[in-house]
Amino acid sequence: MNWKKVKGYGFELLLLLAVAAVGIFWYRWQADTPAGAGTEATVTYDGKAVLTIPLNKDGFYQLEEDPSVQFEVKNGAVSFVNASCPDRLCEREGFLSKAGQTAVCLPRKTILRISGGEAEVDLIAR
Amino acid sequence: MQAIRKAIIAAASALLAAALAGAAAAAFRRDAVSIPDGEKVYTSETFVMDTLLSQQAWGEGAEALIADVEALAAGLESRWSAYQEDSVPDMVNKAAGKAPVTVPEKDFSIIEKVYGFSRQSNGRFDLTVAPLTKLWGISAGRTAPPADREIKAALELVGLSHIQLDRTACSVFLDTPGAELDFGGSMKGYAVEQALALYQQSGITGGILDFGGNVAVTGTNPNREDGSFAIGLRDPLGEGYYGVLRAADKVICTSGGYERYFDYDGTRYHHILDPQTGWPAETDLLAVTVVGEDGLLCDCLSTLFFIEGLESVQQHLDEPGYGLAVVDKEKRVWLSPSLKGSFSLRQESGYRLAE
Repeated sequence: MNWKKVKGYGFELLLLLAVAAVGIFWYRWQADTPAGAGTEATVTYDGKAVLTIPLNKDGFYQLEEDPSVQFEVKNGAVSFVNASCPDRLCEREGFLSKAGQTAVCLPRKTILRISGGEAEVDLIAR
Repeated sequence: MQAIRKAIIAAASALLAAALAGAAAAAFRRDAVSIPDGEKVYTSETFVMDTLLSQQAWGEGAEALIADVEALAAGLESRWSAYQEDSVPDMVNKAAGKAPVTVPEKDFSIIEKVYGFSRQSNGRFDLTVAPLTKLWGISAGRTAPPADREIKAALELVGLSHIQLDRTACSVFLDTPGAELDFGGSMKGYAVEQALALYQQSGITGGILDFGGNVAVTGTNPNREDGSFAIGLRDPLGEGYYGVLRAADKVICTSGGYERYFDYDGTRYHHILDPQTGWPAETDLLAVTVVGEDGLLCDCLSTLFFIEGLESVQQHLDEPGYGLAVVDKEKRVWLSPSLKGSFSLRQESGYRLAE
């Protein structure tokens, strides 16, 4: 191989490397955030925002306003748990992780909503 | 040689610039989503008609519009909920077996329409199903099915033969004490339709209506570059959604057995009852979404198709008045040709499009 010839293109090689580096960085950065994933959940109780739950840490939460309303965070997703009402609709929404997803407890007038990410959907028909 | 070198430098620089600009644009878009610039969004969440009404609207008049829609919903609840004193069903039900009840012409037309739909469905959708719904009490916490004789007794009170409508007098009569009218299977769709009309007549730039999962969108979405609203269709087996629909200025109603149910002795009993048998509908479907302009019709149709099953869906995919997005138990998604251009399946959802 003629190294003199390669050396002559040093600047171009540097540029190509730079382009590749930016490309890889960009790809990794996008791949780190799954499409549509939210970063936190907000809880509204009787029309007032009462609690913000970060989704990056597993944990258990209950409302000060009504301790029977409880939530669990597991692997970046959150769900109503230990519902005391008969139909348990809120629990059946399951563990939510995507921005825009909601679960509602009608008897306790509580809404759990995922936010903080780029939502793939603006609302969910169900 | 020098010319080639210059060309390569220029090309590489252009690539680098493009990559940087792309990265910057992506970063900017993410910011723009969390803080929509300029246009203020008004949101509201109200518990009404036994469900959650949530609204989002952008642009001039949004705040007043949201209040108008809340008032509309409260009005419909007091007029049509069977549990509200002096509502249309309350008055008719209390006079069952005694006397006809005269109602305003506008209300009579709604009753007539739901009655007509029930008639055409050959009794698979029935506005007199309430005695069965109450017996099963699936939302009220029942944990075991009722006894056969209880179901038989309730079935005696269900059926269109118990209703007498008189258009000239605008009167409604139930001929048997204990028979009941219930508009729970049609009024949410009607509410979305009426609310959507208010949204369209107002001066807002865009808005989202969600009436307990029955939804509609209109106008421009400031959070998306193309201005569209993406509507997720709930995954009936898992969490999240199986597909995304872009359908503005339409009412979108969904029925499924995946939210309200109980399990007993290894069997699942969901809340959509077959008025013919008195038992939860034995269906080969998981969820039925109906998209159209007539909200009342869409709400009734989603229930009826869920009860009737896949064969009926296949026969009605190509109707002019509405479109269907249906999930069957084989995890196949059946789509009306009219919706194919506005639907996209979520690849990782595990569902597939039917042939």
